[in-house]
Amino acid sequence: MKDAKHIFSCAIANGEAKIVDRILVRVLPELIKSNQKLTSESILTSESIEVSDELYDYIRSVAQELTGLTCCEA
Amino acid sequence: MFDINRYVFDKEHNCLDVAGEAMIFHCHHYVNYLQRSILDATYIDSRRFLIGSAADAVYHQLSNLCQELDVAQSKQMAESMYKTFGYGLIDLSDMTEEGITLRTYKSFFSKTWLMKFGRSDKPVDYYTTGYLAAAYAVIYQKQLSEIVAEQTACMSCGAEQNTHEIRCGEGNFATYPAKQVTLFKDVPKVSIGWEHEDTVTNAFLGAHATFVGNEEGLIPAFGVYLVRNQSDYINRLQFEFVRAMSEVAGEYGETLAAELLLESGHACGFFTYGGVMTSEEWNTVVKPLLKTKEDWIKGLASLVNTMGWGYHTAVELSKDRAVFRNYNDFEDLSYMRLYGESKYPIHWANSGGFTGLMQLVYNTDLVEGEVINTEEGFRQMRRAKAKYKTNMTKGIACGDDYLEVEISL
Repeated sequence: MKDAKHIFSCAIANGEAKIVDRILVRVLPELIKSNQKLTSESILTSESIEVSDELYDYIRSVAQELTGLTCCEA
Repeated sequence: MFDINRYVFDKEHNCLDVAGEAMIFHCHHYVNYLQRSILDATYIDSRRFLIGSAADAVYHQLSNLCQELDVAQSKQMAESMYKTFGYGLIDLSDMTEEGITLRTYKSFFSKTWLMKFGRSDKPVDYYTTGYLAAAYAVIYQKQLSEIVAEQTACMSCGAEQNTHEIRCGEGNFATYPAKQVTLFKDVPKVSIGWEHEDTVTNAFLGAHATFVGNEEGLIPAFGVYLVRNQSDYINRLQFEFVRAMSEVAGEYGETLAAELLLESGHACGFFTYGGVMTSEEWNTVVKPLLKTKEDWIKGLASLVNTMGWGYHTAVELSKDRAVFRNYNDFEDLSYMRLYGESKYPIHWANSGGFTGLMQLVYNTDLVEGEVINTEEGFRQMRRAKAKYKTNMTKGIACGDDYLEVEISL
């Protein structure tokens, strides 16, 4: 398991207004498989977001693609 | 051939019907944000409804318009309506019983996607593909379900021109059952409550007819590109997106979709309303009547009530909290025509628009004369600490008499 909080924080800091929702829409099937129902609000208020290594990598790649930045590295 | 002036604006319901289709303006920011939100869900086969929604609405409309016309006249009608509505230019002279390979250099969707998002990796002009399928079906008396329609090249992807292929075959886009007639809610309206409402409304009545495609088939106005959409086309995109997301992830999927639909409306409110409120027409006719920030919102409502989106009004209005209504709003009426009743409010574009308006007037320097309706301005505004929350409380499709939304800090 890895903490994906910093990926979302980076995306929020550098991306467009609803970047978190765009990331969540893109990775939705994988979230469902992992029984994760993240929302932009829960991401903002959580101290950490523990996800599987595979989901972490997927979220990171989507975040990088949508923001055009590589700042979403750990 | 097609003349928008033949269609009378319905002042009682604040709407415009063209050959059986309710028509509404949207800006390129809204349309592209909406389409990108849908395309972000790569696991949904959205191409089917992106084309099918356009084909269904246009087929209905052109069937009415071409009833008494021969093939050549029908082609002219389809070309002319497309241009008038601001989608670009199409030449149907090569269309035959077998179909058409249509090429064009003028496309609202391809041009404005590039402007807003940069290059796309897939063609983006689904509307025109659907439009051409519908025109072919009407002119050569085909069923939409027996047409193959595809965009094979797109300027948004770097191609020199757009190419669309239309032919007979096993249908490859969604088709829909006949829709219901429009059911207006004729209830007493709470007026805007502003002494200059009639002055502004009367000044802009009929102005919608001046927004027609130029020599490129585009409608540049208020710092954006406008298109006159078939309301059922653009709204079906929202509804089908939410439905598809619900199939993937139930209520959670609907919630995620709704956030992006609200943001689409927010962008529309920010850019289009921002453009209107910095325009020469606004400065000449409306601005001299404005004393307070609340007047700015009431002035805008008085103006946009002439554009076909329903009757906008505010029953509460302050910087901290506002309650807006829209009587006979375009989203609810469309939903009821297409699907009937809804269990929850579905007016995301209206509500996002109202939220964008509150941000513009109370959280930017627009009122002081600063031009802020740029991409960077939008980014800065959306990053402001004071953020409005949107609570959609009532909707006509839910059985209420009007749309109502609370916007609060």
